Formats: sequence, structure tokens, C-alpha cells
Amino acid sequence: MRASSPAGDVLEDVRTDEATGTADAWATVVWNDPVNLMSYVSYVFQSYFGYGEAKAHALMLQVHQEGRAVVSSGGREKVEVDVQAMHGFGLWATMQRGSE
Amino acid sequence: MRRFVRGADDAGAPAYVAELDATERIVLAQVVGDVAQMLESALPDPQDVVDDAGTPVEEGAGVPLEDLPPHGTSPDAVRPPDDPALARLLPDASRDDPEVSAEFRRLTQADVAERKSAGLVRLAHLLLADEPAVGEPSPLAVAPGEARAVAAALTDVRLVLASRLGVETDEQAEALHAEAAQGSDAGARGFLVGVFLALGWLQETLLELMLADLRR
Repeated sequence: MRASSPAGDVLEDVRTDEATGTADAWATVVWNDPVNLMSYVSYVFQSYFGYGEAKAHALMLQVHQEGRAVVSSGGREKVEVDVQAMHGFGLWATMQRGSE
Repeated sequence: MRRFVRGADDAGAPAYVAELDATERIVLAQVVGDVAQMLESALPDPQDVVDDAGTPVEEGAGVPLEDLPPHGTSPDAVRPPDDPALARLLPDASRDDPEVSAEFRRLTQADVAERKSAGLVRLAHLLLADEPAVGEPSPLAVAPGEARAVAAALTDVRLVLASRLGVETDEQAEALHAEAAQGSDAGARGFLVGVFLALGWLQETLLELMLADLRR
């Protein structure tokens, strides 16, 4: 496993974003799977969503350790696009109403 | 095991390079091509459209009104794949809402399958480029602009192999290393385990370089 980043602070930020994003009716959830490499998942979060290294790494660790993480949110169409992109990358992603 | 390092392609342009031999390239191209073919089976086939007598329906043929699906169901619903490996490549978009999953599949499945297949075919071509001669070193050069697609194709192949090997947990994936080290299975399973691990190491070393380049 790679050296860990200050995951706590970053995750706090993510949760705040979600709490205040009143228009975010849908969320993209990425689930842990036994195949995808941690480095690859982190790369996908950086290169597709444009997240910084620390945030991408923290989300990747959340997927790996907690089994799932909300990686984006927004209207249904935006989340559909994100889930489709995650499937394109081979990540196991679903969409759900709400951000929890 | 083979790994990616920084190097150059034949023309001298910077590339990620893996020192494979010709046999390895041919074996990997075969496996990659098999997965591409699986995905093509998930694409809608116009010949699947048949009438009650089993005769293919001509394009533009009129559909009798009574044959239209009942209100609320989609006329062009896409079925989830039966093969668990293919289902992992084209998963349900919702865990608890079949309508969301069905709608998502109808909108995206053909597109996702087509793109995956194209990426795999491209990787197979890359592996078979310049007709490697058996027994000679034959480096595989991946241009930085292609690396993301190559990494995605490697993922798809590893997902299918893991499904065939019955790997469902992190522990089972981890145990494959010990299984390979024992080397007790010279049959089909041993072959799949070997390819799975080799592709994992190629992908890991490729990602190390790609992540380093993202930081620049």
C-alpha cells in the first residue's frame, strides 16, 4: 500500500460539500472490489474528476477500507455520465438518490 | 515478472515500455482478444430482431399495434448479461432500484461495451505490432496519450480473469500469489492465475509511471 495521506481532513471537506449541496439529488458511489489496484482507482479519481492527489487518495482509501465511497454528486444526468465513465474504467459504480 | 519502465518507442518518442518476449505478447493478445469478443456479444445484434415465426424483421417493417409493449415498459429494454464476468464489466447502476438499472442499461450498455471492446482490440494490436519473432526480445511501447486506455483495458481483462477464477474478496485475490508460488497447477487454472498476476504487475508498474507524470 502507498504511504497514507491526511485522509481525515480531506474526507471532512467532502462531507461538508455534500451537506451544503442542496441541488445534489443524486450521488455516484464506487464500491470496493478485489481486482482494481489502489493506484489505478486513485489515478481514475484524479484524471477523470480532476481531484487533487490527496482527495483522490482519501476517497480511494475510503472505498478500500469502508467498502464504498460517494465520489461525485449532482443531478441525475450528471451522475449517469459519471457512473458510465466509472464503468468504462472498470470501476464498480452505482448511482443513488441523496448523498449518503 | 515483466514491468513497465520509461523508454522510447521505435521512433524515439517517450513511451512506457515493457520488455516482453514474443510468446508473452502473443499469449496476452489472445486473452485480450477473447475479452473483446465477449463484449461484442453484449452488443445489440440486428439479427436478434425476429418476428413470431422466427424470421428476422426487415428494418422499417411495421409492428402491429397489439405487439407494442404495455405502457410503462421500454420497447428497447437491454437485458443484463448472464455471464457473471460480463455482468461485472457491465454492472447494474443501482443496487436497490431495478428501474434505474434498466434505464441506465438501455441508455449506456451498448456504448460502454463498444468502447471497452475498441480499447481491448487496440491493446491486442499493440501487442501484435511489428510481428514479434518467437525467442526475441520484443518491447511493448505505450505512448503516454494511450496509457489511460491501456490501463482500462488491462483492468477489464483482469476483472474477467478474476471472475473466472472465482475471486470475490481481497483475501482470495491475495491468495493467488501463494497459489502461483506453489506452482502446483499446470492446467487451465494455473495458466489463468499466471496471466492475472502478470497483467496486475504490468498495470501496477504502468500506473506508478502514470501517477508520477500526473504530478508534473
